[in-house]
Amino acid sequence: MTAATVLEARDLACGYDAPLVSGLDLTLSQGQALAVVGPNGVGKTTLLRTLAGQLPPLTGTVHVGGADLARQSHLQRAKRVTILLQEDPGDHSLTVRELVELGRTPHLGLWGRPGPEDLQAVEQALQACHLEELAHRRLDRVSGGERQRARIAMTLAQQTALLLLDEPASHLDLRRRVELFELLTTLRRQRHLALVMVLHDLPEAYQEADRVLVLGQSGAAEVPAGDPERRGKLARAFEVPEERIPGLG
Amino acid sequence: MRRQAWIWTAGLAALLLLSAWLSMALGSQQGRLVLEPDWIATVSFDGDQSLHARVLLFWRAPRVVASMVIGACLAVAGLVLQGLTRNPLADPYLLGISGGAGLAVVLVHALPALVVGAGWWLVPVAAFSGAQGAALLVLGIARSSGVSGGRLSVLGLILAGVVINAFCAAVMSFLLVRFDPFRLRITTLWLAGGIGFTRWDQLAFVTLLALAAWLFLRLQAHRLNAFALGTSGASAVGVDADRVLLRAALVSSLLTGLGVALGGLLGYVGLIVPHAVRGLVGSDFRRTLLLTAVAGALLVAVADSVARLVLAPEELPVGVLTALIGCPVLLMLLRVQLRGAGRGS
Repeated sequence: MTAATVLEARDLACGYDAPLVSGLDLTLSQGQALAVVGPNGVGKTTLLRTLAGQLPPLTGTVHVGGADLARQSHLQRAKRVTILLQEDPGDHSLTVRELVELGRTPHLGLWGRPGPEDLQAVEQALQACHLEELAHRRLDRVSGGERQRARIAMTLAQQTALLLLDEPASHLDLRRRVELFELLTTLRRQRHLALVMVLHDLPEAYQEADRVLVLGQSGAAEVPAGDPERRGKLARAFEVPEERIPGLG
Repeated sequence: MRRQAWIWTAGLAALLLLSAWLSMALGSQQGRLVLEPDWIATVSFDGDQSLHARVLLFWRAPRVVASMVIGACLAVAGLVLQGLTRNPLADPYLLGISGGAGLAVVLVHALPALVVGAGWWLVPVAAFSGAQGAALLVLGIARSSGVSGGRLSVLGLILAGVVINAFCAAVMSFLLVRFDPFRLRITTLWLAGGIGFTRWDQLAFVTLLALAAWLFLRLQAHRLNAFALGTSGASAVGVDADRVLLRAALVSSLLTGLGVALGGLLGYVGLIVPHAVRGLVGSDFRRTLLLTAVAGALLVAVADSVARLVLAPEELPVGVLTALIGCPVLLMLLRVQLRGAGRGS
């Protein structure tokens, strides 16, 4: 049985005034993880926000779960795809549970009261991220790694098929990074989540994702782990000598 | 927490009823406080023309209701502004929004023929328009002075408020010096937070608008909660952030305008009450909106009774009392905010 397609981008160009990324064709299935790498300012976050429907594509289309995001309302989009940006301007006076509950916002009714399904989704998200013990702790009273887990639990509570993460492991020490990627792998296997992650660390990208999309000044292309030209392609994208590309395992 | 919010709301609502009864029953005779519960028990609403009936129905009762409506309006406006700007110092008075409303009302007072021609509804409508203009200006100035992580800077907001307040105060002073002594006294008393000039028809109009505004905000409560994630975060959970932000800012300006139309420039209510309510039950708008309205109503109702009776037969403007409570709270919040900003830089 083949996994269902979750994300499909066709001839996509994204950016603000001028395109940062153009001519991109991308397909992602249930349970797959795609890492996006590239130098600073090349448009990785812009691409992620376009895939989330937060920015309109300059040309082309983005379909998530078969629906064209450009034709979806904010609410409909938030039931299909969610994005976790790198910056965390969130209110740290919230408790972990309150933050996770915010993930249910698109599912709430007129008066915004959570129903049994919402409460169950929050409990499941807290359990999946091992946060039951911290649920009543304020976000400014937990570590950076725990806070990042709480943010991911919020996106899980949203129950979308596609999760877009912008540098999810930044500011985390090695142990927390390992824990975070183990959690994401478990979620992909158990919940068949499709993931797109912007990552800075090249070995980490090849280790934690099934596929790697490299964005450079000359364009966007997937560079598979088995590509004999991989080192050269990465060096050209990052505009550094080949010998400066770290060991990729 | 939700249960706690209901307990607090019910408790404060009971206190509000008690304070309303006391405000109606308490009077002063030759400088002495007198409790007159018989007045309330014996008054007839069917054309009773006795002195005590007229005092109750046309003086004390509208005043009590007005003070509650003003308190609820200003407190809820402050709560929403603080949530939208993610800044605990965003009080309609400090931000100059009340000042804009006050200026618009003074302009109307400067042209009495306008009110006579158009009707009593002109004052609340003018106050709302003034509040709206000031809110757009202050948010625009603060936004141009910098947004960090979806949060308007403390200093940017406060300084924008100082500028708008200074401008409104200057224009008001210019207009007031041209007023005749009677209009000058009435207007300056009202500006200082004098709640004594309320008509039932105006009160009913303002109350209906305030209830509609509150209901609108309550239906937006879960979307307003999402602003705790910043505007991008709110958008990620399905909130049309720009639209909700604009509508909620408009509605909080409306509430400010309504409060100012009835009670003048009553400061700090929108600062003290939301801060205390969040301390009691957290920041979830689904819990805080009703509690803030009840607590705001209670604060101004009690303050107005004290202001009416403490120097009787003279009256103290209510704004003096709210400022006496509000200034230390503002200083404390400012200290916490600036210390936080200092640590962040």
